Amino acid sequence: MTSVKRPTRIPGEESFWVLLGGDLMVFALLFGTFMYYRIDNLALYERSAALTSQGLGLINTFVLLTGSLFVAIGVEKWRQGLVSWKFLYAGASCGVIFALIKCLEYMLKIKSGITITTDIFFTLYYAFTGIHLVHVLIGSGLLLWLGSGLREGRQHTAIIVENIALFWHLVDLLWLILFTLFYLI
Amino acid sequence: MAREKRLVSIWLILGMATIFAWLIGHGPREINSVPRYAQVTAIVFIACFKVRLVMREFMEVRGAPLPLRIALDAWLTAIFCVILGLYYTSIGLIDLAAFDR
Repeated sequence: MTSVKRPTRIPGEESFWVLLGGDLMVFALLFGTFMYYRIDNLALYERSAALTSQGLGLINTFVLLTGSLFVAIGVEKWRQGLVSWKFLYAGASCGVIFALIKCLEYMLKIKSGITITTDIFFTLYYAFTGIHLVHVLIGSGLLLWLGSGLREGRQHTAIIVENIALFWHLVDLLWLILFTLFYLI
Repeated sequence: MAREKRLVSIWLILGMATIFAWLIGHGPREINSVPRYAQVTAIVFIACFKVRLVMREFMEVRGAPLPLRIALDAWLTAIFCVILGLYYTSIGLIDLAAFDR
């Protein structure tokens, strides 16, 4: 019996993976930093984690997962030559909804007296979720740009479409870890 | 169409895994009778499982060359070990000072 080897291809541009890899490394350091400070601040971490808006965190997780689904379907539609910009706009909308919910969450925290200087947990919470929020806004902007270009009939190479989709999915997967660290454990 | 159906199935699995992890952390008392460190281990495992699904299915790493797949799996394994290792240390399950002795 002969085994058939499945052909492999790298999604997006090879050099873009260097950028994605750099981002993954930076966030790995952030995750490690957050957990490292937990060692000397166990009681404080458990007390502060109970004060996070867990319901809003859960909703935002679903918003980003849904955004990723829209973008993945959008890329597939684009490959088939079908209308894809609607799916990319839907993905970008999920990013905007995520940002609005995050702002609401920050406002609720600040209103109840919890700020970036409250304790080490919330310093890291505001810093890391803030860095991630910047990624979400960049990703949404890129999706809107890509979607509007496709809507106007502009031609985009597969590399551009796939690179932007990859960045969006990266933003999604980084949130899955942040959500676990700040809201669930 | 087949790929789109697959993507929706993946999204459903990710959603169910999210709810499952949520229930472990905030669910009914029967679940909460499990020691907290075991719950956290399960929650972190589920998070890494979800990240791997996003990488392999949404980012299409499943069909990527082996070095990329290995690099991403190595990153995820490192994240899993660091998070749980430092968590166990914080609750006293692992004594870091013992490594110096």
